[in-house]
Amino acid sequence: MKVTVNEECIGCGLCESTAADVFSINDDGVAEVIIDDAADFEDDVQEAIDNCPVSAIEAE
Amino acid sequence: MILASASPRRKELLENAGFDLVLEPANIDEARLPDEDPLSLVKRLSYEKARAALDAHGPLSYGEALLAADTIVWIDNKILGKPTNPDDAYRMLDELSGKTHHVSTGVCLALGTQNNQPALRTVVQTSDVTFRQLGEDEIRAYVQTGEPMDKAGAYAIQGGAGQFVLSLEGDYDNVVGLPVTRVLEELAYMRSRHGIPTSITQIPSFTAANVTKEEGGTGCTVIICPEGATAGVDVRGGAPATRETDLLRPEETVQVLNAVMLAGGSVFGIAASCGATEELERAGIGLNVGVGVAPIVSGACLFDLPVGDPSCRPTAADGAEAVAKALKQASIPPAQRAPLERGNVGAGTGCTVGKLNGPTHAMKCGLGEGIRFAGSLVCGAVAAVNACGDVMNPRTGQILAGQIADDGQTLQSTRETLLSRAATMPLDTMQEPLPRTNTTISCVVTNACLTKAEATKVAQMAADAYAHTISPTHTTNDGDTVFVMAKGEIQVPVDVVGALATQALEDAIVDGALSARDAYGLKAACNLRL
Repeated sequence: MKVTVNEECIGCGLCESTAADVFSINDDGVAEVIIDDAADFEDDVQEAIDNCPVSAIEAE
Repeated sequence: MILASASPRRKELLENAGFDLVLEPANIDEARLPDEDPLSLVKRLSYEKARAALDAHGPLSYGEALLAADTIVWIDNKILGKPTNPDDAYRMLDELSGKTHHVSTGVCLALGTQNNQPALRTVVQTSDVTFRQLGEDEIRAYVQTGEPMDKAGAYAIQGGAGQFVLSLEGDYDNVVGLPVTRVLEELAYMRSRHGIPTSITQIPSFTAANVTKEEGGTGCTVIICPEGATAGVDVRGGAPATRETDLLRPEETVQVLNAVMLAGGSVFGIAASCGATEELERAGIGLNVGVGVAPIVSGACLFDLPVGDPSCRPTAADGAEAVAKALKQASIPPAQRAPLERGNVGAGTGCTVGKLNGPTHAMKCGLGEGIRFAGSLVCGAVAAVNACGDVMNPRTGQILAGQIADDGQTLQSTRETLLSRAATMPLDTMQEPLPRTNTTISCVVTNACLTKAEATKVAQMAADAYAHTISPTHTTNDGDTVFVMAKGEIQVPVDVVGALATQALEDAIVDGALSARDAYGLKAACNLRL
């Protein structure tokens, strides 16, 4: 499962709090995906997608 | 629940929904980011408040919930916050006059799970409010009351601005400050997702089922423990109809209980427990007695004969059907079982409260459920509430369901009526309600490891839940009974189980009042709440 964060990200940290195994706020203050294949965390990723205030997360 | 908000309106809304609150407001920078969409803003702010509160609080224990919220009033892309001064308030109300605006509340819920990190969910609920044209003078008069000053959008729909509203599309509580129904849905969803039981049907080793006879105005609810639970009972009040309660005494031989049957039908409803016993036998569940199995079933009945058809009672067939339903549920993994239906179902079908002044001044009540956690200790409770007195919110004392006054709208405290009658009437002419026509019967289940004596003690402690939520309670006309079934490995002091069981049972009784719906010519609490 490939997960991406687009340029809408405002770095609020919700995705990191929701799925710490998948997302992390980097030194630039925006979220990045820290895992190649998020298949094990599909539910958490969906939760993060639902939670994101700016709909910046996509998954396929 | 931990409420990370200082809003008195949110506190009240949640308390009325039955939550025990711990207030831990969080302060954050609420500035809007440049060009930030209003819905993104409330979502982000509600999360940031929750995050700040979580950081301050520390880890959440299993099943423990935390809520933070942010409400904005917005029109086009403009956000109206709290007015800074009366002129600002005037300006805002003038801007809203004759137009439709949006009230959006972002809610962030955190739930303690088996993991280190709590589960998080953030949602937004929007209601559209249309104001009529407001005159200059009336805006000024409203601002002068001072009410607008601490409210987003400079108005309170539940206060003086109610009469400004031409129409509302969406949830009303959301406009007051918190979409409570949505919060309950999201919490249930989160609990379900993380394997945290939301109902007695999902507590391992137990399940429950209802049989409802709607036209007859009665029914039964069975709670089963196929493996056999350690049980206790507390029987208070003037002789309810019960079965096998002697067997539950700590000094009696049999150590396990397979089912508790709560039923309507008064003296006749005991038949349901007989049917339950036969159905359990068919399933091979019970004590091995050489020539077969002897299922151990205890139970109690409440008096609901006047509701619906007096000749219709729970029968043996109904009891058997309830057990069959429950056993079917038991074959599904706990997390996937449907929650128990509440309200005018099962033993709650014919329940009523507030009967001091006769059935015309009573209200519909029903079957309720509650579930509480303390670390990995779980206590679930089911109650069929058919009390003579009123059901009240245990924290505020506000009557939720009970005796209705002659105007057919307002609630009149049964206790006050009882005492004032003694003051104004000659005591020997006081009419008493019919004896043994009222009862609240309930069952608590827990995953604690208890002895029969300890389970009995828990039942005695939990029985106090009645005193917290029913007024007056244990009258000569109530035949109250509390069962406790324990099956599990959790070793905790009895007092802890007793305290948690009391909370769960309080929740169940309040839930019984709030879940009921209008029926049999009687109003239910949900239709009196505005």
